[in-house]
Amino acid sequence: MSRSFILLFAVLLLVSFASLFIGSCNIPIYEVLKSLVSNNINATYKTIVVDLRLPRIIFSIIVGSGLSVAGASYQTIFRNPLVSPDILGVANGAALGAAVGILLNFSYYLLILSSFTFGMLAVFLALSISKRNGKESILGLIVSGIVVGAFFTSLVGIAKYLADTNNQLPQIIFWLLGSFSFVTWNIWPIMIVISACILVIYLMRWQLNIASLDEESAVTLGVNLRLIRLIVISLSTIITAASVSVVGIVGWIGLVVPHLARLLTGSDNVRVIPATILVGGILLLLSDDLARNIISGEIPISIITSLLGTPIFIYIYKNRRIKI
Amino acid sequence: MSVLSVENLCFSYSDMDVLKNISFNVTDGEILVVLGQNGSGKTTLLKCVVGILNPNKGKVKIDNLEIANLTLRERAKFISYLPQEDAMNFSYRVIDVVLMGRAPYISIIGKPTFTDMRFAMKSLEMLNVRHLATKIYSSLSGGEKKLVSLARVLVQKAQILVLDEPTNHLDFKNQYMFLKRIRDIVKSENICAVVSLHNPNLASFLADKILMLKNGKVIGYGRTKEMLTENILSNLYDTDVLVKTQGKISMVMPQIL
Repeated sequence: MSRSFILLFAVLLLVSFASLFIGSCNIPIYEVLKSLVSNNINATYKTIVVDLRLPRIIFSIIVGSGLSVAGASYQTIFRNPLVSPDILGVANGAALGAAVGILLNFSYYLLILSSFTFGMLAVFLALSISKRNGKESILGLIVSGIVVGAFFTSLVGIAKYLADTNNQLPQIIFWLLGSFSFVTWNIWPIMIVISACILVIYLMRWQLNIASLDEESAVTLGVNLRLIRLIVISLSTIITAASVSVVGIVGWIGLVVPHLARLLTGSDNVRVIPATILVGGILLLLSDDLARNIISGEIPISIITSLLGTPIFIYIYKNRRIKI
Repeated sequence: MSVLSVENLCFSYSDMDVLKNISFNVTDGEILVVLGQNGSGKTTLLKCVVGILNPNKGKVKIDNLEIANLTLRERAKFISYLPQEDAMNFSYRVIDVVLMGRAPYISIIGKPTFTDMRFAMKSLEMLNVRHLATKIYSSLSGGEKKLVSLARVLVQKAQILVLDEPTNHLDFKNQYMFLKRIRDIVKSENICAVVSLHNPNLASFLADKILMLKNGKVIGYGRTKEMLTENILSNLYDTDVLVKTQGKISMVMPQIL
């Protein structure tokens, strides 16, 4: 493993460790350390560190890694550096699922399920519309993704219009801006599902190089491009739908992080994918640290990620690292 | 001794017949050049041979194996293909591009090993472009790109090379340099090649055998010398053609002036 990966990994560990110590409740450093290793400690401190801060830190790393890896693989298989994980409408679908859940006063877990299901449904719709004359094409996928996304966004608009303005509307709006504040250990199955999907993409990372070629080249190299595309789209959709269903929309991470990783490693996906996983984890964790510590309340996560993501993107674009 | 044989191959796009009853064969150490006007079906024929397109009728066989019965991966170990244009959307290094040629030997969750890397470097060396290994592919000149793509095709270690108009975008000298490399490799590795070309002069330089396609039909098939005659070429290109022969080389010119 090269030096840059060791460095990135060290940064991730350091940021994760440091994140345990910061938060709206001021807990002395030695109490934080004690709460990690011993039971003999102030119960409130233990709850805050182990049951609130720790799962939140772990989940923001998983979501950051997941969205980034989904973005990197989408950019590769769609052969387009401007693609993000929600290109097939998954985020818009998940948003509708959550909005419907809020309107119908679903419980927290039912809301997650509804959001996840609608996210998957949107991608399924986009995939089935994309074929023309029985043939699938990249352009067809992108066009149908945009159309399905727009359709679901308009349905979210209807949900907002119908929502009661005192309670439900603010809830929908806050959900759309994203937040990690509801994350607890109870969502461990989702953590495992997202991590497993990341692992599979990591294992397949060299195939992504081949998948970035045109169909004819891939076929003559003995690679079943449709199968690779189907696997990557399924895994990325599960990652994105599962992430978004728990924390709401997290913008820009999936678009920007793969480019940052390519700045560090070049374009070979054998190196891009692990770098993307690490950088994505670090960046979203830092964003969440900012979100919960800049002001006394919580700032929605998408506001932070967009504020960080846009200047980074402009920087990369101006330095001609993005071929358009 | 392996033989690529194509028997009575027909292909049509919806209701338009593009290829009609094409037959030929190529053996080890032999180069077959396909000549024909634009739209005569050269590229379609090559795509049928490598399995990108499925012929409506007829067979493509390697020895006695029918390629339609092979899996994609097995097929890629027998036949490699250099398309007219290479689509590279990312800034891969040259070595990454060449390693892609090892795909038929790498599992879906695998990555190139040290041995693959050695093959890749050797194939760059064979084409005298080892020094480009760490350069970014998209920053290379047209000629260098072609050589790197050829290195990718060679690293596939297939018995049959299929090259679609490989001299496109190359300058006068580089066209001949490139074809000479192909010729040397086919002879030294004892493999066979099917190459489509536009220029009969290049065909005379490269080919052992020539197949002439006109409107999807074979109008000439045989040894290079027998094929490059004024009569056959005039018929192929629908214009009067002059052929001057000096030693082994034939010079072909249209009589337009």
